[in-house]
Amino acid sequence: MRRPLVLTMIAPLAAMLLLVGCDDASTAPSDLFQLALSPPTVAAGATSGGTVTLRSRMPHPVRVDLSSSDAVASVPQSILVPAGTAVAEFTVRTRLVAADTVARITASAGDQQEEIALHVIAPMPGNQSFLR
Amino acid sequence: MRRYVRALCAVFATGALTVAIGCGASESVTNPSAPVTVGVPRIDPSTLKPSATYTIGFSSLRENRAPFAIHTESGFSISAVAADWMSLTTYGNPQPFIEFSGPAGATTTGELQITANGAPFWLHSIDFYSSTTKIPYVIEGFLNSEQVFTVVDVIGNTFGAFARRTNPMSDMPVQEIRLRLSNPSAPCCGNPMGIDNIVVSR
Repeated sequence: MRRPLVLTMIAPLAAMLLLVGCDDASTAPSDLFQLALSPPTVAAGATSGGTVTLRSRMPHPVRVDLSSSDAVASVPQSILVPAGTAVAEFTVRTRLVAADTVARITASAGDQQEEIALHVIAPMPGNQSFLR
Repeated sequence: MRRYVRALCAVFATGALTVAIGCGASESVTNPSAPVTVGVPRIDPSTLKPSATYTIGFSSLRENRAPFAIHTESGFSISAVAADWMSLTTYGNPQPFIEFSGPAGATTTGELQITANGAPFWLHSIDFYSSTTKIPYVIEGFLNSEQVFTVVDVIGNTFGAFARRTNPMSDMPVQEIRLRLSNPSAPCCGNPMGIDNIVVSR
């Protein structure tokens, strides 16, 4: 029995569309910016450098809101990527704590949200006291 | 010719001397002026002595599991800075006390601030509590807006009992104490951690 000609033509086309659709779906999110921390592990009390990199330069400034999941690390409330540039940097300040702690640094702009872990390493255990 | 060389040497010698004196002079002017705080009188710690001792036991907290933001007792204020602190009237040393919880499998930082309305005071001891974990803590003391001491310690697991820790810097007057507790909850379960009986003098 012969397949109808229409089906023979449509089937490959539909498969191709499906593939293209799937490919788009896998790259569509996280299009606006990337978030990075350097270093991703710091001693308690030290700082880490955060970088927001836009995928492409924008003709207008882009505000990126920042937050930290734990009081051990603090970030500015937001940073601005100036118009025509693609990179903005910020400082993550950490505080002295007595146990290793992971703070999750979150950046969000528009519908996109990126999260990255900052490992904060406590000083050696034991009672230490010192004058500043 | 000899006269010309002599004159040239004299010029070089004078120049070198001038540079040496100049450098010496600039080195001697290295007396940085102390930072000036406008409007706030600077406290000289050597002139201070405590006159009375108080134990902040949170006795006026009446509602169990109520969110804790600030508590005032004997002229001292204890404020929650980080984490969700709450009052517990069913437990304490004696009851009530304040605690915060950490979620399972994570280390959560809880922070409190202790002040005496800007007046200098001395921190002597704090009673610490944790249900199932060790108690890592940091105490920072501030005077004249400058950090004057830091204490870092880890109390072993007390299995729900209170453990008193004295401040090794209790002879240093402060205007602000920052107390940071790390709550390292086990992967299986959340953990409550808290404090009671802050002993201070003023």
